[in-house]
Amino acid sequence: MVDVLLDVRDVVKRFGGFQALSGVSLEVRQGERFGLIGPNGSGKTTLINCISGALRNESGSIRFAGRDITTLPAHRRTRLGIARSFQIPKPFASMTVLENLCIPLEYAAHAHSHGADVAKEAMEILDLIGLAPKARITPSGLTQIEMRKLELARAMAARPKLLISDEAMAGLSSAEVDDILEILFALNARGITIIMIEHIMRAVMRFSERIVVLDAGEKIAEGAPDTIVANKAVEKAYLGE
Amino acid sequence: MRRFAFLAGAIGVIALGLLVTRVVDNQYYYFAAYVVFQYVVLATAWNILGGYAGYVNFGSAAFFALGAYTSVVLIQAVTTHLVVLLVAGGLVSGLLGLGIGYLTLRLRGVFFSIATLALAVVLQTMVINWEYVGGARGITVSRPASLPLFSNYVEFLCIVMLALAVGTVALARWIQRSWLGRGLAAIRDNEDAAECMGVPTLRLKLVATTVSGALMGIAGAPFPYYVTFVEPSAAFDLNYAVNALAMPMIGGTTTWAGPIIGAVLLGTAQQVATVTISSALNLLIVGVLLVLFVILAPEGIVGLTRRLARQAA
Repeated sequence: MVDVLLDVRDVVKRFGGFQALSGVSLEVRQGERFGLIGPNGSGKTTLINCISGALRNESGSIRFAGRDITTLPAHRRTRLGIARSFQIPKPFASMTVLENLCIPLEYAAHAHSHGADVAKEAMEILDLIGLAPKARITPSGLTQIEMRKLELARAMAARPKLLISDEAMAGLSSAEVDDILEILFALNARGITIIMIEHIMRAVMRFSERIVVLDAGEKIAEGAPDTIVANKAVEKAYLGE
Repeated sequence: MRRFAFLAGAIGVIALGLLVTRVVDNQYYYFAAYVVFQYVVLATAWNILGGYAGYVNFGSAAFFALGAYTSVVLIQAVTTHLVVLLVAGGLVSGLLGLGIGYLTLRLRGVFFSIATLALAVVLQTMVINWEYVGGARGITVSRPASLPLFSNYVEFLCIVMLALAVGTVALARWIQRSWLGRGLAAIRDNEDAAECMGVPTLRLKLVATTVSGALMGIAGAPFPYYVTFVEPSAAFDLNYAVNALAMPMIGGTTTWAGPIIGAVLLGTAQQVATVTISSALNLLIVGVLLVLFVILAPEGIVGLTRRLARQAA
């Protein structure tokens, strides 16, 4: 029996008359590499917004590490260990790359112990992710892939148990995708559970141990990558009849 | 070392002010300097919310006037002690800041600004219809007796306002360099990302509106003693709202030094213009400068000098 880290039960989210999520349930296990896929508009980002606390779900519950977090604001969830990267990078533009990392280090990782040497820790994370040479410049001087790496580095700086990577590879070249994948594998090897949301099938299939497929706000399939590829419902959702 | 230098500078500024009162006798200078120091407080207070956190407050006059009218009520009913008036003005305007923050900070960007604009109109209407504080006619306040060290009361008020300005700047500087300032900067840069990185955005914004409002109230508290005749149109003057915003924008909003530079430059220019040309020219000067800076140097004088220094290097 492996521990369940994240337990999503019957989550419903509406926007006015539009039901974006109609009762989605899923479990993510401790240390797992978990893939979340689905066509555009299927509710992937809405679901992770509900998990990270950016949106509040209307009904259903979300439990993290055995604790009900359904009503907690986003910053509390981050402090408990849920970090995310954004699909469209949202760096702190007036700060240097290093300072960008100091915010989550100071506010999430060391929220209850002031005086930690956050700059040193930030530098270590930048080293790990390969952004150390850019530490002193502002994000406006970064390339597209460096911007994605900054998103991941900043999420790492929150010292998460669960990292949600929201399309961190969209628009990158094949070599760059491998670069990001390598980083995610390395993080997972350090014990961090990872949810990957991605349209690049090659990446998701290679990375994930288990995949959940969403379509029109409902879970239509769940299983190992090879069973997902063979699944008729998934093929229909992506390609039509 | 830098902390020591700042402390020494702060004490030096107040000591210099006291020294000047021994030498200069022309009362006009104290009358004019009071206004400049008052704008240092207002601009710095505005900047804590507007510059650090990126929430533009158009209702500075409301917080300022609330401080002034809190003093009027206290002078009428309880006490004439200036320290009590300053504390009360700060408390009441701080509470207003907290309340407005709680009601409006779920509104982002320009909607927050519109709400603060409405606040000033609502408060002014209330004061106009409140007979106890003079209503629309205004009310005359008599100053306490002059103090032993100063040749008259305006001189004393001027030094008090100077001390308040120094204190406000010290607080703003501390905020800017602390975890609080870094959190506010994250909110200004990207509020969604800040919240997701563990920053308690709502709580930090409430701290900013409360501190900013309280400081504006403190700036307004001595106002009745300064003018001795308080009327709504003077206390809620458009000048306060415009200057509180324009001075940091012109000086530079991201550091504590910006609002001082803006307030001293603009405040002095306005005082000179009032004497030499006309008092109606003030808003025109501010307006033209603001437009020029927003277009040519959006980071203000501080940002402009940094850019030039970098180019030279």
